[in-house]
Amino acid sequence: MRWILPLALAAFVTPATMFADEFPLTGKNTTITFVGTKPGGKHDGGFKAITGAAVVEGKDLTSLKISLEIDMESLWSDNPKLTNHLKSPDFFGIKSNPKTKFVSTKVEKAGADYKITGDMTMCGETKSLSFPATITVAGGALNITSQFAIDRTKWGMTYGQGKVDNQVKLKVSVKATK
Amino acid sequence: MPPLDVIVDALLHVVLPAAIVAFALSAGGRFVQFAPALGLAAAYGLVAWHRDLWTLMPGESSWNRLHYAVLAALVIEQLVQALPGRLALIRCFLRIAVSVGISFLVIPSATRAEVWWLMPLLAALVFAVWSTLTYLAARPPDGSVPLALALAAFVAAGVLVHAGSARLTEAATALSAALGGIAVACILLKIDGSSAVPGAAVLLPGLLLIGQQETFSDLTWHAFALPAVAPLAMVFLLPFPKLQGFPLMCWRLSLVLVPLVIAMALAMQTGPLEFE
Repeated sequence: MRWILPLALAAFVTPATMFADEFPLTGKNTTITFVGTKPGGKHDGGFKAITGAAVVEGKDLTSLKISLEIDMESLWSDNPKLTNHLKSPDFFGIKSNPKTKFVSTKVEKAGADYKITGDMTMCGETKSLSFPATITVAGGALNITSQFAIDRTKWGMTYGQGKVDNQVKLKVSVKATK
Repeated sequence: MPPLDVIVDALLHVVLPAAIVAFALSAGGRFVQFAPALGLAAAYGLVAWHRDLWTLMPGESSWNRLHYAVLAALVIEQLVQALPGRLALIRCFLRIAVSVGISFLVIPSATRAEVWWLMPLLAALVFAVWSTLTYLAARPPDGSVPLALALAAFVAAGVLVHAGSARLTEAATALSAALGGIAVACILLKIDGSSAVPGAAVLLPGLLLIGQQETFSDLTWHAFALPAVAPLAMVFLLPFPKLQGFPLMCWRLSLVLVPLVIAMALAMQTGPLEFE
């Protein structure tokens, strides 16, 4: 009798995990870049140190689960002085907020593409975030591409409103193998 | 130098409102002793609200308690002043306790763990500036102490802009302008501006410490430390009681300017400012 419960649990759990493919996410296979704009100008930037994992069960891409962490020290931009400014308390304040995290909570079909929803913790504040994405799994490789914009003030990055646009364009590209 | 539009914007929205409000409220110092404290709190608070400076750091950082610490110091000083003169030891103890408490609550625990001596250093500095300058501000009430603090805050703003934080720069500029307004009221109306000193004693080193800890630049720690300690240079004139009036004011300001000029020179070594 005492074997029944573990066996029953195994019967339910094993199929799901057996067909789950885990794709490690690193700064080499994942790029996250941003474009910050202001009246009459723009700057490019991104993050180099990214760690995390994406898990897909079988061929069902709505089962995709993403967990991502960015080391904010790795922030870069097209101007070294701007990079320092972005790291300062005016924007990310990275000494107090050294990591940015994203954990997906739902992936759903949206036309030909998908909509990824998750919780993003940035500058010490966790907010829900949804964005469109193109997701494919083929030949043992996971590909995700997405372009969207976020309102930086939602994460408490309120400095410079009027001088720097609140909306920041993000571009995400994942080309990960198992 | 920052571009003209940035300077005009700072003048119109930071310097003038802070200076005018601080002057107008401090002028009441003829009637109530805490008028300069009220002037500093109202002037700085107004600009902080108007320019979104109340939150100094994004997220829930204990650095954001600095403004509450300033208010606490201003209020505690009123209690300290209400104590009878024979309770000097209790006065001193209260100031020490508040300085230590503020340093503990404002510096993030991770920073305290990383650099253990930072908390006692800030506490010692706050206490030293608070006690010394409160004493000097009334001897005589010539406005030299708020003026010296205004100059120190102005140079602090210069250091912080080179450190790469516009928000901290504006906060220091607002403090400088408010102290400037109080200084003018003190000079014109012969008011004792000592009640405003505790606010500056907390805010000036606090902003500089945030700048030193949280920004990314090639600035050495000396550039941040010198504006914080510069007002203490006025104590070197205590052995010269015969020095009075305008010469005393000139000497006080000259002594304060020495470390301030060095701090500014150190800050400018990081190269020209960029406003792109």
